[in-house]
Amino acid sequence: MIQRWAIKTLLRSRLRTLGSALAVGAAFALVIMFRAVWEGETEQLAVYLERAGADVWVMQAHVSNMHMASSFIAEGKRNEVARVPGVQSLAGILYLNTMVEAGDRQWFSYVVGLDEAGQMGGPWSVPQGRSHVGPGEAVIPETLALLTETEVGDEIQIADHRFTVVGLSAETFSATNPVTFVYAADLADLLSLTGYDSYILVRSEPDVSPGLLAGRIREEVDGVEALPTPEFVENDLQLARQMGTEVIALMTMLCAALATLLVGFSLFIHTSHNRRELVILKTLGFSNRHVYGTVLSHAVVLTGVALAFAVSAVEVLAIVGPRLAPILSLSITARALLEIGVAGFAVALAATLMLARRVARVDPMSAFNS
Amino acid sequence: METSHILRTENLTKSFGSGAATVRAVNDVSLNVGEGEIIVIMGPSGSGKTTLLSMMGGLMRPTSGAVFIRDVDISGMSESELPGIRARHIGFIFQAFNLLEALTVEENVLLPAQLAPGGVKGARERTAQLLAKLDLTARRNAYPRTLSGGEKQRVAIARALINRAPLVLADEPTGNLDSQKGTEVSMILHDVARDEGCSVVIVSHDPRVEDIADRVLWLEDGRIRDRRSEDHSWVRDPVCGMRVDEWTAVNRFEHENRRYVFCSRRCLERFEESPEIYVSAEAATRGARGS
Repeated sequence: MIQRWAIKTLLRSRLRTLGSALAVGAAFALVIMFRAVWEGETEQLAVYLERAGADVWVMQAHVSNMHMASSFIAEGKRNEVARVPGVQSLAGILYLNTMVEAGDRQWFSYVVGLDEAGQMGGPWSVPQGRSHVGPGEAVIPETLALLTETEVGDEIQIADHRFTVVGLSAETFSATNPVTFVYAADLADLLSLTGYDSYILVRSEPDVSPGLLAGRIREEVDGVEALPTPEFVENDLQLARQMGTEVIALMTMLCAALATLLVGFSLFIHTSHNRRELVILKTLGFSNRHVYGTVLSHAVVLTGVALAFAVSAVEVLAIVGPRLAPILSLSITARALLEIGVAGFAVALAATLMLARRVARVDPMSAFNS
Repeated sequence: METSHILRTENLTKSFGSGAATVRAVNDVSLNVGEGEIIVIMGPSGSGKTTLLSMMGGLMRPTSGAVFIRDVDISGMSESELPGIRARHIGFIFQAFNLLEALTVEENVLLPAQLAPGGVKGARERTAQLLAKLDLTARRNAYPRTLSGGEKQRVAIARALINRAPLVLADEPTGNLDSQKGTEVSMILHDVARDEGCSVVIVSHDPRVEDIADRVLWLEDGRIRDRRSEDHSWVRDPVCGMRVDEWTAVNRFEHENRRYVFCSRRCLERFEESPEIYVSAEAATRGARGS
């Protein structure tokens, strides 16, 4: 019954409760949104690696990922890799992380050099134009084209080389690393480097597992590293996550502290407003433990409503956001929601503890004051 | 025959302040309250009545002396033990009713049952009985803000009785009620003591309450004293016409250099709204008497 009182009292001040929940929800929404953007960007970073069509990635020894990495292996290694039992087909790509100038804007981009039409490592979906790039040609992400007002037939610039856009690819854009495809010889020229690949993409025979094949390549070809695609992808994701972990943790802590203060302040207002009723409860024989329970209920309900609001708001943003701002890649993971949920209830508990002394000092004697 | 005492105080004293500024609000009070007995404690404002009641109810610790409820000394109990004593042994009734605004009449009455062995579930039938007895059945789903003063006080009485507490402590239970409702509440308290077998200690200025008392105690300067009949100074409440002791009345109002006293705050409020009506009515009554 005392919990019924707690909830009904909270609902009696609907506007105040809703206002508090919205304020706390906004703090939670910030954290969820920040994480969603980060997760979205991180996942997008790995999309190229996952969709390139390779079962095994071969790279320079001591290199184990692509993001922010450099890898160069002599072209001759392609033949050595091709001779390894279990290799069905392979293709080499050149890769550079550099600025691409499109329209009047510059974007940091993965630039991938391709040898031939339809090879592994090229764009897998090209809604406008064509996927094959020849000398002096480029395929850029359609989102990048939209943001820079670039169309098929326009020119882009990479270092001192100009390329004509011949196609716009889908699913290859992220705010930090869109993927631009150019002709391999052009990229080699730009790097002043010939006779090298950055990565060799290998497709395995159907009855050979990528893990086994990667092991064989490492054993039989000197000076290279070979990794099955899932492991290669995970290395990239891990690197990206490591770079963001501290920022995310700091942001979460700041927002959780803000939420705690907001919930605490709301409880303070609520208990001040209902102090008389707390006095009555104590006079009737309810102990401090019971009264703490009511404050905790208030905190949990407030935090729960705030979390529901935050998740709903972010879900809506996840649908509407990318349409309004194509630059955004959002990903709301169950893990992120679980973590923010746990943080939310820690916030409720912390806010209740902030009020403990105040509740304990409610004097039942004041029930006699009329 | 040995009398069974529900409540006993021994040399109960409560002092506030220290050194030369020490004030003894209650001074060496010893009294016994028997089973089913109704005791009214009267006295002028500031005489220590509420302080005494608070110590009896385990809401305030005495400076010295002891309070026994069914021979258990509650004055030395810890803060964690006292709520249990209040929940099981004492029912409280207040001048300001002190109902919980977010709960319905029925929920207000059921609330203390959460602390009783049978819990809320076990108290539903008794709640229905009490609401019927106090003529509140039709108002069981109403919220306190929609109730009249008399109804609120009847809900508070039902709440005080729900756990079958052997002792009911009432602080000015008629203080916020008009003459008719005040009398009604007094009679209910009388019937409660008779039917439920509980002891009732009432602190009041209201002389109507004296009518239901088995004993009237007079508290003055923190001490229980004998009260002589000449201590009364009876005057009429100009609103309801009720007899009020001018000496002890707390509801007072100065109007056109004359002091009026009232039986209740409600009467005082009515007077404040339009004093001329009551002053002229009183003058007419005096004139009629004179002629």
